[in-house]
Amino acid sequence: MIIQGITAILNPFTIGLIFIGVVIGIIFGSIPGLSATMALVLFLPMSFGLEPINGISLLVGLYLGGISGGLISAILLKIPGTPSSIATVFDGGPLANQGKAGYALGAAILASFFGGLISIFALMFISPALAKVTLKFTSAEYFAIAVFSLTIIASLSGKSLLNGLIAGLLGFAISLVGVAPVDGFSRFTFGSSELYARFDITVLLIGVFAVTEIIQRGFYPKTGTEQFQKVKYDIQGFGITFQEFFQHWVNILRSSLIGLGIGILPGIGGSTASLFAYTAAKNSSKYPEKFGTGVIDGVIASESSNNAVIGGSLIPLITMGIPGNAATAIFLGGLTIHGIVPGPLIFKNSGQYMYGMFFALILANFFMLLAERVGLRYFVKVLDIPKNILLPIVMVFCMLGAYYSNFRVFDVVCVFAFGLLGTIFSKFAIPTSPFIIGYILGGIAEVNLRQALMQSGGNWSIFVTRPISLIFLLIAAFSVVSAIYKNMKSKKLSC
Amino acid sequence: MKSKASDFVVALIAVVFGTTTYMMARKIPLLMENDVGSAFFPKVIALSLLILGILKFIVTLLRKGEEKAQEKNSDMVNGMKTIVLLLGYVILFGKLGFILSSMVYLFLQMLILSKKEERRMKLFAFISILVPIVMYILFVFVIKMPLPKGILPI
Repeated sequence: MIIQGITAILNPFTIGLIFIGVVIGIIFGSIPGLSATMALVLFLPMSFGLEPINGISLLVGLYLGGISGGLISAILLKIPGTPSSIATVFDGGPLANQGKAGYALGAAILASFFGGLISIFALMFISPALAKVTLKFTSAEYFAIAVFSLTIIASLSGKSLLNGLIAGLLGFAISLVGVAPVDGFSRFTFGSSELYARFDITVLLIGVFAVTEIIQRGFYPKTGTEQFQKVKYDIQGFGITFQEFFQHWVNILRSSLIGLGIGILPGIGGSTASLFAYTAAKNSSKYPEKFGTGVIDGVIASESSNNAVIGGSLIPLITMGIPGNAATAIFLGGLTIHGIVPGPLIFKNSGQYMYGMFFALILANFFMLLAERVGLRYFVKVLDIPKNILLPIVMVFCMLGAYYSNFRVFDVVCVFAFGLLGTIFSKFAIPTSPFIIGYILGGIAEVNLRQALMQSGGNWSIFVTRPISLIFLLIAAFSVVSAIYKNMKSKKLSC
Repeated sequence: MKSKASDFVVALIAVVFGTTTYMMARKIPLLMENDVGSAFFPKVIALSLLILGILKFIVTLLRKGEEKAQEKNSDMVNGMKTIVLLLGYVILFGKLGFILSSMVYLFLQMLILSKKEERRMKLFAFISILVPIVMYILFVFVIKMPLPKGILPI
């Protein structure tokens, strides 16, 4: 069946479909507001008309390309192309500012490749075992993961810890708007039905990153990237030597495993995975204070973890039929329409398709590497376009993406409002990254805390009696205490 | 801007936002058994904001020495113009449609962001007309995702 699966892929048409899927996926991923999910939705009807293995191959290419494309805009424009690439901006942005865009891109592409590869192998060889582990994860563990990832706010606060915490809480507060989890009560909607649905993360990202950037540009004509615009991008190969890249192998492995793990858990997603991996990389680094100023470790952690989510998220889908995110839910549709029913019997009933899909994933991963490696020298050319022309065009793309996030003009208006908020933040030296993190993780923390408490009958000890949850919470507490201690020691607690 | 005045404003934002959120959260009812309720998180966040705001106020008050506010060379006029233009764009996005609103926006935004000697009117006009049309064709006709038509018949 393995051979059958591989031979089904090895024909020019199928290989071509995978390649096209990857390229389109990368384009969708790199444009803020357009996502891998959207690319999958668009091409799903087309995949119905194809042979099963061809349809699956196309979807695989789109999914992988879509997740990988986000790094391009995250580094070059400091606007994450997909929510999964948020953590890439933290260090990729500063690196691009220093004229090292090619270096950052190269490392990010390689990290994506290895992250993807590790997770695909995990999917191929140990998915049933991994699926069993995930069943041990309940709301209590989810809550602990969210709390652990929230501790990254402390290190992304820049000069002022207090401002960072306030920003994080404000982001958390924004996540409360809309229909509440668990009981469905509508909170803070001010009677507006448009606010019932929570703010889309895309809308928040575009507003706070893109709109704020262009408004800042109006206020401060010659700042930021401009000073470095004339730096020559001397790119040879990947922009980073393999020798240097593989010095980070511990980081790559750890981040990939984190991505894999988070990917398997339904409902958390690539953005949390990259934040989690970034936090872990920083905590175990010899120079944690440099994170956020342009260290390649941060880019590698973020990108290897978000690509590892791909293989991870397919594990519960294939073994149990549980889609963990919107993209895999569409994937599920693509499988079932061809009569492939996910579940324990999938390898017995549709084995040749499964092995075909694994092989398609590996091919797609190589194509992603190839396409982005070839594209590398052209991507950086984007920075040569004068900012006064580039930024307005990016803005139009962003508005389009905001509209497409829910197909309503209301979101376009929200993007403007969040852009204004970002501008006010910047005026008063409130960092925006904690705001976004508070928003993403706040929602996850609330729903899981409440579910866990309902499960335990209102008994709070559930979070410390379950071992996995306890471990995460202890690490979180430790990293907060050590951050405060370091802060006090260096007497830099200058609010 | 990193000065005492700025820090006081941050403290004020936190206190005001925290207080309002708390007042609103008090009205959220508890609907289910064994649930902390939909008011729990808003209250925790609101109180944390209030506490941090007060802390921020105290720390700022106790801080000795007023650093010089290092205001970068800000161009108030162009900044405000950009904000107003963006506001106009998002309002007209649905009314005039994607193509027209984006054309007007692109042209004016490029003008605002360019210094006098950088203004290449013909190029700007060309880009402003071409980009929205190409995007519209690509997304609406090729990819088949609708965009607001506005007053144009297509």
